[in-house]
Amino acid sequence: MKNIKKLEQYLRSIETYFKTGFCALIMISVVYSSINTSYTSHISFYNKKLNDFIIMVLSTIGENKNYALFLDYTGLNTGYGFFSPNVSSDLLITHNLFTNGTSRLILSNSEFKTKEGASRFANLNSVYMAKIEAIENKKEIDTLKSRYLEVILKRLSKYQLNKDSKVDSVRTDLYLYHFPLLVEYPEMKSKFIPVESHTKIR
Amino acid sequence: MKVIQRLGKYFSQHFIDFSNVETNFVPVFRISIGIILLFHFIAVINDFELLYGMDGIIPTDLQTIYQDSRIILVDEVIGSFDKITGSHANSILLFKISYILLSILIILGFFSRFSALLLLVLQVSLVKAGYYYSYGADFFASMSLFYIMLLPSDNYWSLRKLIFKSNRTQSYNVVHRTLQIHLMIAYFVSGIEKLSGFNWRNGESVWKAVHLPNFTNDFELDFNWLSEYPWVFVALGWTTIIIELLYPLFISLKKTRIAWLYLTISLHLGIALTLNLYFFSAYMITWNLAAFYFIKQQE
Repeated sequence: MKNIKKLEQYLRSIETYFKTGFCALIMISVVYSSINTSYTSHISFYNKKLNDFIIMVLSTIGENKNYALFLDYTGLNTGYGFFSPNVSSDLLITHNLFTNGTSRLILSNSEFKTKEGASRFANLNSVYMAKIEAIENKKEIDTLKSRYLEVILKRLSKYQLNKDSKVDSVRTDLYLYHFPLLVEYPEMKSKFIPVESHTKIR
Repeated sequence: MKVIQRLGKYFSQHFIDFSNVETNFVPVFRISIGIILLFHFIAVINDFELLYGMDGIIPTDLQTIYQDSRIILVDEVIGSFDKITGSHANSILLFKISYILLSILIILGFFSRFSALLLLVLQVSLVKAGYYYSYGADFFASMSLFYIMLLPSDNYWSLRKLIFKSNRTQSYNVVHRTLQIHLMIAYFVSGIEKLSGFNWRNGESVWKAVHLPNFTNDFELDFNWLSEYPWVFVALGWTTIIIELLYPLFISLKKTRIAWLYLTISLHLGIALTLNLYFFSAYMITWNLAAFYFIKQQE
């Protein structure tokens, strides 16, 4: 009986140590992720030069594969920016479906039966912000990344072709949605700025 | 020594006693998170096949090209279910049933820590396989499940306690304190980042946010007429900055804790109303209540 009680106490103390250890790890991870995402988004937004030392420290920590796996599984690798330092513009993807000379225009997320599904799918569009930032900063986007983004657009076109056998071709267009600034409204109107276009023929 | 004593007395008079917390926060956190997880999954269940897996619109291998290959993805989970069910369609159904069942076990408090562990594997398998579809709510879902694993989640208001009649008590102060500090850091960092963004200071960020086309406006609220009163957007921007930036201070003071808590909850209700981020707001409100509502009142 005494041994069982002692064992129970021992196991409880181990549990306490583990819990405390995990909590300490959570705190470290929150601080790390906050600094990592805040610093990189601030530098990116203001187009400043990265500090080599800070990047080296952040990269060294982030490159530890086991730690990165822990962050992935706990969701602790998220930033807490919440639309900071700026609200990003929205991108829209449309499909023009051509059938026997007629065309029908749909949004890329019009497939979805649920609002949550449509909203989630629309998040995909933000992956193309890399292109917008490259254009704005007059920089070349990484070739591999550019081709990867192209593959995604082509995949969307292919899906539309496969879905409806009557469709002869699909033109997929990527637009940057610009709503006028508060100072510009109402003189200026909202506009869709074309960024990229791909046509897939059956 | 006297200075330290005076400081200690000052802090105990004006700041909340972080360790003096009601046990109710544990079941409230567990049950609320379980309900949000359940409804968040049900909200997308009819589009599951379009979003996730190799048969989705954007297949898993295309979405996970830059990811750690050690993460278990939804395709692997469903593939392992194929051995039980014998068909892919039934495996997807089993995945959905498992997700819903685990959420219900968490709500009921029946081996909720183990259920949270299993649900975390399923939830992350979806988030990583549908990487481009994930957003803030998904990360808070993962973190919430991890906190449920660390808390003595079955010790209060639980089916397990009802059946097994256990009187076992476990400490939760360290985990609760971690949750509090986690929130303080999150809001402070958010406030700092917003303060550094000039569009938050001049109202343009709020104006832009309420006009984003991908955040559909369920209530069809028209904000255009407010363009004649630009100070409204400037005020909203600065209010958001102040609520977030000063959160760690005012949520810790006895006199301002409840007021700041309600201000923060109002902020999230406003986000839910205007940007329709219902689930994200629900997670944040739950975290705030669990962390700072159940502090015992002191003289």
